[in-house]
Parts: sequence; structure tokens; C-alpha cells
Amino acid sequence: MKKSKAISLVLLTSSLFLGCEDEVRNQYASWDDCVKDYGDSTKCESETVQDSGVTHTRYYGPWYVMSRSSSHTINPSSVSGRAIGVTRGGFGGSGSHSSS
Amino acid sequence: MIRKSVPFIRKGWQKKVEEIGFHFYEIDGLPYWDESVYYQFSTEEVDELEAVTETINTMCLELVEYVIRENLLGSLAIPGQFHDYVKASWRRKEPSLYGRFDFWYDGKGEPKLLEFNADTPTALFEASVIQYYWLQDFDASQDQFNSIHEKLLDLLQKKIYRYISGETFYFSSVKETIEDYTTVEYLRDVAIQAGMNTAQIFIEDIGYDNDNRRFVDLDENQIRFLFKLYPWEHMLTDEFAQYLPTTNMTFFEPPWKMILSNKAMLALLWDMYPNHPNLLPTYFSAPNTLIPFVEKPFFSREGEGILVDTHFAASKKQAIYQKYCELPSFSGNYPVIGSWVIGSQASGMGIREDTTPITNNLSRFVPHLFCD
Repeated sequence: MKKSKAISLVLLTSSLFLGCEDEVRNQYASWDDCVKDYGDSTKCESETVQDSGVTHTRYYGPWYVMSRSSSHTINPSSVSGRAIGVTRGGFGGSGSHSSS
Repeated sequence: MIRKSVPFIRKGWQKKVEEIGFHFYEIDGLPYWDESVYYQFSTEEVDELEAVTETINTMCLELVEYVIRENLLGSLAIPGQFHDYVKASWRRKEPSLYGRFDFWYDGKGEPKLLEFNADTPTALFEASVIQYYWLQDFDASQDQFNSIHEKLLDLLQKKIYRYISGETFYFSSVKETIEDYTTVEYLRDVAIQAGMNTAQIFIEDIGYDNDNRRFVDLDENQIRFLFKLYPWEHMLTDEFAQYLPTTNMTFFEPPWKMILSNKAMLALLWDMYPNHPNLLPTYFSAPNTLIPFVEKPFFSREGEGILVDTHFAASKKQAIYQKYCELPSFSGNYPVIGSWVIGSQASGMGIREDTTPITNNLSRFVPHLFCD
């Protein structure tokens, strides 16, 4: 056989194409990764799902509001000291039709 | 290779594909995903396409080595201040995730390389996932040249995971382009399944921290590894280009892919492998014979700037001239085979067809299967 034996998706089926102010939450490969990101285990949760007889455990951070149309995401994760002198918009200025 | 009409169309297929994250099955009100027809191949045909893809990919990697060794980057219109940057990327063996070869093919003659979408190929999700689920519904007992998903997962798990070594892998595309966003989010999906920490950031939102001289995300965390669905030729003219030669941010696709995403590579390949059965005669200057040639700008995508003629007033500085090989017609439909390479492995194909011989960004995606 030259086709994939099975295909499962963990991201596209759940969080893609949100409205302007939808709630989202980050997904992690492990519990430790989530705790490390938020520095607080109470903000993380796990969920076990069965897919085609295979058990997967997924790890999520807390829900937050994401605006795809704005230039800022109110993402509570990875809060760190704010650097001074960050400039943005230096990539992406050469047009939107860019893939092939 | 046969084009067939389906005996039935899946009831509620729009809802089915939306449930797996595919929302642009129509573009500008015209059908993009078309499952009213499909292409049927024989096993021998698929074996041939697979083998040719691997061969051409090997030739492409040899071409990169040749261009770097012979210092030909200038002939590809890559600005001089980035030559060392490109060379270093190749010498460090920075890994590539994927690419898509577009082939002329009619099931009778040898496949002919039309171009290599080495830097920012799309239609990955359609080829890997959407047509796979179509076949599962249509006739799961049939086979398809499509192990793209498995090969991607394998590459990310076995090679890229170690390479990234616990850092966050960022995935980026331009804003407000649903096709690009879907391609990138699909790749991120597979990266998550490979066990990686990932994040999404639009290319316009990437910041440069002038104090610490590094690229950062919206929370000012350093970006060390970035997949960008944004062409290198644009990167090199953007404001942040000045920081590229000194950055330690690693890009997917890597800078050495600039050599292969440039149409000039078609002329260089022909020069390196003259009369190769899977290449079309291609030159840097217009031959002006009675045979039609296609003028292709070095940097063009989705059929932009393509001109077919037998006589060109003057050769353009940044264009190549490829012998015109009209796409085969299947009842007035002209298919192009998009053959995917994941890492360096031929992994599957997707077919785009149009009612004109020039494929463009509105050409329909049509599924396929193969059988003995």
C-alpha cells in the first residue's frame, strides 16, 4: 500500500478558523511542558481520547481570548520580562500572495 | 492514467471536509476541491512517478552542491550580501521538510519536470488528508499514492524533534490567507503529534528585539526555529532582511532552498543533465526557433508571468525559457501532477487541473487512486 494507514489530526479539527473573539487554549505535548509554560499546574489539564482504538492524552493550558484580526494576542502563557525596543512588521511587507 | 466521473458524490461532503479543517473548497465562488471526477492510475504509472520524483530530487541536491561550489548564486539573482548566509545553511545541512515537483504526465510518455515548488508549496493538506478521506469514503479497498502524513510524522519524530531539541517550533504564514494558514496549521498539527512544543505566529507579527538582537514572538520570547510559508525572495527584500546574516534563528525551509525555488534551477539542471528524459530543454536566453517555449520569470508562483511563444523580442534578464510541452487534455481538462517529497522521500501526489493549459491558483484539486 502506498497510502497512509491512518490519519488523525489533533489541531485542525478543533481550533481552526475561529471568529474574531473566540476562546482558544494552547495544546502541549506533555503535562510538564504545560506546567513549564505557565509556571502553575492548576492552569493545566489533560484529556484522554480514543481514536480508532488508540488512546491519546492531550494536554491543554487555560482558555484565553484570541483575536486573529488584531496585532496582539492576549495569550497568558510564557509571560516574561518585556524587552525594550522590539520592532514588528519587518517581515511580510512584500505582498500576501506568496505560496505556490 | 484515466479521468473518470464518480458514480456518486458523498452526501454532505462539504460538512465532512469542514469537520477535518478544510474550509476553502470553493475559491472566489468557484469549486476548488472537485470530487465529481478522479484520476485512476495503474501501479506501474505510480511506481514510475515515485521513482522519477526520487531521481529528480537527488539531481536537485546535486545541483545545490554545484551552485554553492561554483559560486553561481549571483546567476540566480540572489543578492551578494546573502551568499555566505545561503552557503552556511547548506554546509550546516539544515534540514528541509518538504517540496512539490510539478510534472507533465499523460500516462504514456515519461514524466517531465515543469517546476519545483521547493520553498512555499501549498495544496499539502488537500493531497495528504482531504483526498485520503475521500478515498476512504469512496472505496477504502483502493490504494492511493499518498503516505504524505506518515512520512511527515516520521520525519518530524525521528529527525526534526532531535534537531529542535526541546525548543518551541513556530509556524508562520501571512495573515488573511486561508490556504496558507491551513497548510501551516496542518504542519503544526503533525509536529504536535510528533511530540513538539509548537506555536503559531503570523509572519507580520514577528518582532526583532534590538537590545538582544534576536527575533521574538508576541510575548517577546525568542524564536529559534521557524517554519515560514513566505518566500525567501520576499524575505530578502523585507526590512528584517538586514538581520538574517547574523541571526541564529533556523528557518524551514532553509535558506539553501532559495536555489531550488528559483526557476533558474531549471536551466541549470538542463545544463547539468542535458537530454535527461525527465527534463525539458531550458535555457537562460530565448532560443527563437519555430518551436514554442515558455518564458518563466525566476520568481513566479501559481502561473504568474508565464508567456508561451515561438519568438521573444529579447531575453529577459531574470527569466528562463523552457520548451513548451502542452499539458495533456482529458476531455478538455489539463492536469498537472504535484509530486511531494517529504525530507528526501517521494511521498505522494496531488492533481490540479484546469480548463486551460496553464495551471493557476484557481485550478481545481481532483483526487486520485490507483489499482492494477
